[in-house]
Amino acid sequence: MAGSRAALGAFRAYARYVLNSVAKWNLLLAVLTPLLVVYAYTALYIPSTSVLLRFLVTLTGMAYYLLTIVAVYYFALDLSRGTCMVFLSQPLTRRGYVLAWMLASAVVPALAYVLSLAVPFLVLDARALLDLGSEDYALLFLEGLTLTMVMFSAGLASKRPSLVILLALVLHLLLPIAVGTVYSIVAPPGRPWLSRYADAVAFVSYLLYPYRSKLIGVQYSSLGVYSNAALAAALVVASLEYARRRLEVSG
Amino acid sequence: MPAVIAARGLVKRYGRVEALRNATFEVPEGVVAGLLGPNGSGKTTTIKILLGLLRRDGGEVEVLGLDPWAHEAEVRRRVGALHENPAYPLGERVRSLLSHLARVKGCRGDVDRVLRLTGLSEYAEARVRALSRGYLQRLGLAIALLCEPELLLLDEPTAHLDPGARLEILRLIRTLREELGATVLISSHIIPELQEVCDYAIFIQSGVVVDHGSMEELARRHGVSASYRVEARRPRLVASRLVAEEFVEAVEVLDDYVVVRVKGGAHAQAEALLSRLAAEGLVEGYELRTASLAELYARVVAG
Repeated sequence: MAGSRAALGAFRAYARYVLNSVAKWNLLLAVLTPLLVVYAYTALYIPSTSVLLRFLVTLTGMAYYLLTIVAVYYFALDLSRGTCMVFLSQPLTRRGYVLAWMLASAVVPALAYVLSLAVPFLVLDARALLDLGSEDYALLFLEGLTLTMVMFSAGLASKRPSLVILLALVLHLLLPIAVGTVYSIVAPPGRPWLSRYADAVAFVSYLLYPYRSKLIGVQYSSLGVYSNAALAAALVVASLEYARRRLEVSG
Repeated sequence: MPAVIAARGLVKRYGRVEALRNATFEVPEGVVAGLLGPNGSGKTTTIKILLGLLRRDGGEVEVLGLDPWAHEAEVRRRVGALHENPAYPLGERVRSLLSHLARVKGCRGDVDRVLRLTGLSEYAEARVRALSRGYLQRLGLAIALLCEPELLLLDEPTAHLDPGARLEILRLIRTLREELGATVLISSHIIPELQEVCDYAIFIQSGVVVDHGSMEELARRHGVSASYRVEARRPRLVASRLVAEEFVEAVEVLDDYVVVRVKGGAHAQAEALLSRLAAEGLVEGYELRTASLAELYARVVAG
């Protein structure tokens, strides 16, 4: 009992340290997002509130994704440089260590993003927040969580920050273009014989990018969305289990 | 004395390379043990396994009665470690880093004590990147000493230091040994400098523990020259009797005792003579104090 209390205390203290070390990036997001919201509201003329919101969420969402990439990069750097050894020589479990970084990479940026988006809206136009719909928010965070966990798991297993950057480029830039292009080829209107392929591509599209797929009008695939959520959960569990069973630390 | 560290048939592989091969050794409570061997002999791997940072591929290991891989947090709560070439967060201030680590270890109020103990108080507000190599080692020792651990694992504490800094760190370890009374395991490939610090040695080469034991046991087993401390009522008379013997290399009279250095392989003769002197009432008692670590190393490891 005393041992688990001590382990919990060690985890809390380390999580605080990690969150402090990535705090400046969260702060940047917390400043950037409200500025973009205020700018869009005051300087751009977009007649539909929902279109304006989608535009804003997409734009600020990029900053959110960037923040998750930076946090996962720092995590892989911590493992590759061996800085982790200093803290892992204290009564911090390997799982606690990984969980602290998971919070800093996936959960805290999401919370910082929601707050930095919601607060200026609450001041400017509270009703507008409702126009976007909870589904859009859910899909955006699901997409962010899954992509972050893919990068996080790769960083954990490989301990290579360069792989994290490479994966970020592929997952956030190249693959969405590729999936969108393939979908536009296999799902043109008036060609029902291609619908078999269109369903498969829509599934892949929602599996990886539920928010972006909905935004660009890919035919909705609930199986893809559920699979995305399952993938994120599986990666969280697998990462923690990997940490417990296999994570070795060397300088 | 109960063993603080017990390793039996320890195996660790990195791919096809076997870093540790069936390593078996013990470290009794309260000793300062040297883990001695050339570079690449498996010293760092051993220390990391003892800390639960690396998983063993075979054998058994217990630190303070616990498996360090399975009970990592409990073991690390009771053990302090100094790593070879540790990567500290360079932007942190010394005090701030120690405070974070003390919080993780559960002793927030211990920072000033370890700063004082390691002579870092003056540099408490300096950034880690501003510290010299010698002071980085002091920081490592300060981290290891947080929360008064029962066992200290020091991996090459004097490596890459200039002679001055090396002497300072060794002096510090000697002081810590006297003040804390903790069990200490020091790994090093620079053998002679540990002579004054260690009373137990583990010799390792190419991942194999060649021999281990107290300096006394090892000196007897391998017949290396050793020093006896002889308590005497009339030290000068005892010294004059000793110096006449062929197997005696040197005799030194210090206050009310004599330090006599005998040649390798002559322990039995020396002890027979000392027993005779005791029977004559000249000697009150004697004990084997130190064996030449460098000579032991040459005998055990280099063959």
